[in-house]
Amino acid sequence: MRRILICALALAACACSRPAPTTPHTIYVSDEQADVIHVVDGKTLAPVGRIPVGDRPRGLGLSPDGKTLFVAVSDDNRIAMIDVATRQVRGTLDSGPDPERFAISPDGGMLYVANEDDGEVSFLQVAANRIVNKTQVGPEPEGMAVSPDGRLVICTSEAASLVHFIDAATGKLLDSVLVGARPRDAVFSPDGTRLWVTSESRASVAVFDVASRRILHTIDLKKADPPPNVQAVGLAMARDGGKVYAALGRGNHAIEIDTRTFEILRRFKTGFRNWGLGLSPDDRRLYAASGLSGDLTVVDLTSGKTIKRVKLDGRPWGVAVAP
Amino acid sequence: MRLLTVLLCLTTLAGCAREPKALRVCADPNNLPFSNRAGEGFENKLVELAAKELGRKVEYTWWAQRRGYVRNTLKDDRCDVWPGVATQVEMLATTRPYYRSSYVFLSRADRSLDIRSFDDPRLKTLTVGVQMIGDDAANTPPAHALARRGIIGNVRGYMLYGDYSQPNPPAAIVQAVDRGDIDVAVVWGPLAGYFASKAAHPMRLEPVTPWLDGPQWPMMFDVSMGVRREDAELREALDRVLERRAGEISRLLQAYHVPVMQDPVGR
Repeated sequence: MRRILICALALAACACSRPAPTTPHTIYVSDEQADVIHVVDGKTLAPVGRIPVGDRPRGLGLSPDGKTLFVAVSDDNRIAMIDVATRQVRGTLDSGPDPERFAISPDGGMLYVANEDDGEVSFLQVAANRIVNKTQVGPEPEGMAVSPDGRLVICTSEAASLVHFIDAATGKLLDSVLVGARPRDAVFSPDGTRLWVTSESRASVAVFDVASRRILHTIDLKKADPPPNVQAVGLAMARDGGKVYAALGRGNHAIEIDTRTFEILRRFKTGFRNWGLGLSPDDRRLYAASGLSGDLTVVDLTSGKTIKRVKLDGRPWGVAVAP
Repeated sequence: MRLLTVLLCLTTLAGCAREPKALRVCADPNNLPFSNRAGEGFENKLVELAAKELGRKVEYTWWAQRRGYVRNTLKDDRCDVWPGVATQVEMLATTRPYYRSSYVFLSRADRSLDIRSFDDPRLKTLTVGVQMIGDDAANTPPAHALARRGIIGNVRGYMLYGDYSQPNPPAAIVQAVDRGDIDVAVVWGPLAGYFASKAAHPMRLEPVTPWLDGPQWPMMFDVSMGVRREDAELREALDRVLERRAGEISRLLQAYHVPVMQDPVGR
């Protein structure tokens, strides 16, 4: 009798399709209006903290050792370093003017910073808090990425629709390639052979062959049964490289793309103007920050269902997830 | 009475069916190879093609392409389409690009100069023509590329807006090369290609390198049709036309000798 009851309970639990459990983690969301980093608990999905960082935080990223969260504080012209353990700002770095996004070298020693106003990429050495190199790029640099081997730095020039390939060792500009209008974000495949770039106003995603630095394929989101006002903004790459996720901006959705076939597999509703995306450490959840509705949409990727919209104030911009 | 109303409605509907909404285009009346009032430019041909596909008639508002063009034309609701605009402009929504071109070094073939790079040392001594907007920081990218190499004294500026009393004012720079007034000129590809094909002497065109030079605008651009940002429906309709008629458009550009860059080119 008792055994039967337990079975029944277990079945009931399954029937109400509980989202798959996920490993403990914390989500950090930059808020360019409230000037804070929101802290959301991965288990309860409740906001558990607000870390004031200064004027207009946008790009953010976790150090490879997971101990430091770097935040580009755009209007204060610096990068804030948040101690993940204490959730306190433990220092700042001089990034050069108007940092928007940055990429972190695989060894954690260098930040490559897009200085939006100057049309430059600054090579910022973390330990010395010193800019050791600069590369001139097209106007309004934004999207930043570093290859997994650390040798290649990518920057997108939003205003000139360019993708720049920069030698990480020398700062030399190796190549520039035109893509769809207003490229916003860039991400490498885990094996470093492919580079994915979103173009906001063209609403396209370009896939590069990294070795030849040429475009292999362009996904035209306007042709794929798009939601109204579709754009392409933030990117998140699954750890095994099988899928990549793109935020559709004012299209108010995020999509899942098969990295092998370039097919759009699924589309998830988000809040208004979804810019930043993040994945849980086990890739079972997608987090989507939406600026105009001021929230974080949580999608369970196993079922494809939205399990929560976490209300945050201000204008959420980017997402970083720490184990 | 009721019959009259019905009749009125019917005639109104019929009127609508006979007179489809026009494709309202703003274009420069004196700016070949792009457009002119006689409809001889490739942008004229392109909008005719688009209008035909959309089942509409072209209705032009002629407006010289100067500063304030968008404000005075599309934003002032005088027209709905700008047929040739850099794809990345922020003030408008743009269609898929229908061509990509580059600034070129233009010289007479009989001079055998074959200049391809801003770093060619001969540019310091030859007489070099360049398209200019004005003397301020907002100048053309090739004017900056020459100036930052100290190539200044031997450079002659040709105003992009030129003398509007003359036909096709921007063509003056190509004619100067043809006459031998200047040795070489840096000219936007479509303009160079078209007027070079009509010059008295055979001409040579070479795309400039590096086409991205310093922290500024590149010298290679994608070109689209532009509409107001809120006109998503029109933009999508034009997108479909540009895709469907890509072959014809490519032949059109070829007929006007537009140097079209096929694929992203390395620096």
